[in-house]
Amino acid sequence: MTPERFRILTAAYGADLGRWPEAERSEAAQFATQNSPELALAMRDAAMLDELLASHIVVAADQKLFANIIASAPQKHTGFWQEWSWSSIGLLGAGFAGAVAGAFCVSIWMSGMLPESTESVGGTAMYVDFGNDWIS
Amino acid sequence: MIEHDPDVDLLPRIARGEQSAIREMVARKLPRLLALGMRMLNDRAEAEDVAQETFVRIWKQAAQWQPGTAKFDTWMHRVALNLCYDRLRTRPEHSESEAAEQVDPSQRPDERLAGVQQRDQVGYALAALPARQREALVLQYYQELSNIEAAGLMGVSVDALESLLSRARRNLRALLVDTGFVKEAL
Repeated sequence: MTPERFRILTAAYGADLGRWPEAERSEAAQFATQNSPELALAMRDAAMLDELLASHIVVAADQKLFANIIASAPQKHTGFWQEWSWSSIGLLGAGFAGAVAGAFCVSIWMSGMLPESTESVGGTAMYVDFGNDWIS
Repeated sequence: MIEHDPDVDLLPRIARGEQSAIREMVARKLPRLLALGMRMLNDRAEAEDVAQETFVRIWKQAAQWQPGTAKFDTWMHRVALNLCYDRLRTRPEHSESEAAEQVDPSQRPDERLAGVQQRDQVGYALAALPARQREALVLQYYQELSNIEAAGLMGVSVDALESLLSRARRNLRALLVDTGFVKEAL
């Protein structure tokens, strides 16, 4: 560390060695112990400016700003099975009702296409006589 | 190689909409963003707008973040600084020709400070600095970024950063002395 480098660092980063580049801190700390009136004056001036800079405080955010930012965040997703279970119950119900209704309509339509031989007469079913062809 | 970044752990949880992670991120970053915006813009309403807009970008980025590409805090500072510069560009007092990076010595300090609205003298003086000097000082001193991070964010070498910092501190001191806020001895 040279006096020139020490002066440059003081002018740029101030008097707090903790704010100086990490790689140069320990060497600078050793160098600062030298009894140099010029460097001591530079450090004193820098410390006074640091103090002024530190006096600039920004008032913390209020609850309204905090709440607005939280409200702008993504909404929580429901899990796949949770979403699937509720929506699928509805879909399955609608599908089942449709199937029943469809089967009912088809049965009515099919009833008009049945052969006459199967028509009931006087409340009694008439059957076609296939004879003994089915008897082995 | 980027060391473990604790902010990145929150991002997948934020993307899933976990309230605890969202609150944690806001608690960690809102004070930093508000401080950055205030010191860059010297206007509370604008600083709050910048903070809110930066968080909207954070929420969008949460699901797409690629670990290892950049430090999250550095990326967030870049976003916020861009938003600050967007606002500074629209201000009438903004000068595109800040290449000289010097406070005009022919102008009286009270004239330099006249258009700035801020309640305290250090705030006035910060706002009167050329934007790049102010940015360097804000990032290094107030946001406590390392010199390498600050230089990287500003797109300059560490030597150039140190030069900006020196000029910022020298000009700030001159402004405070000239306005009588501090004694000549400083």
